[in-house]
Amino acid sequence: MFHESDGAERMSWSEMFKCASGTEADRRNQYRFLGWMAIWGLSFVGGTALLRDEGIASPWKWIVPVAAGALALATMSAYLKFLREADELTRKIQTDGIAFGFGVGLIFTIGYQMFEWAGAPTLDLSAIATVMLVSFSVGQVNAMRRYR
Amino acid sequence: MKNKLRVLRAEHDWSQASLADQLGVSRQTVNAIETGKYDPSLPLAFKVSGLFGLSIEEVFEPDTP
Repeated sequence: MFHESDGAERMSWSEMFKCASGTEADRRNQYRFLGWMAIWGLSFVGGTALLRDEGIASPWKWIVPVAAGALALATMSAYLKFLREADELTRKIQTDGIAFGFGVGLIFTIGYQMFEWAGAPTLDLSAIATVMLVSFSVGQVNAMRRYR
Repeated sequence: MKNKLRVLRAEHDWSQASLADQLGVSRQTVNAIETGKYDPSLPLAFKVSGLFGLSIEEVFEPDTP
């Protein structure tokens, strides 16, 4: 006897998003990661404002990027913990996203240089990070679709 | 890789969520294994077959070329 919710071969998108965050432990690790990311984001915004306004005396201003860097490392460590302990399909979806994001980022970095030589505007480093983040998300959604 | 997970789960009258809980994985993982879209790791395959009191070969079988 099959259960009603299990009737369909494929999971619906709403069903999939409901359980896409993995197990209870995965959700805990994800919240921990998101918490660190929020703290890091705030430190980045606050630190940038402080450095741009020159609100800190010269020898101390190095503390700001070092502190933001330390928070970034804590964020990365939280993500790695989430990835190591994640449900195996969640881990597979995440690594598919990472691979896609890295690949697109690399192609964009190398490929855009040619566009710059052809006269396209010079882009900031943050553009690469944005492209990687967006393609990471696209890769994740693609992987979720593949395994639903 | 083919498997009999859906049949075995139905025989035990377990939902995907209940089986996922017992295996310590997400329901999406159970669904993806059942539909043949994802092949479980060896430790998970052992866990699945152990839960049903069967050997791995009785639950999973390789695709024939």
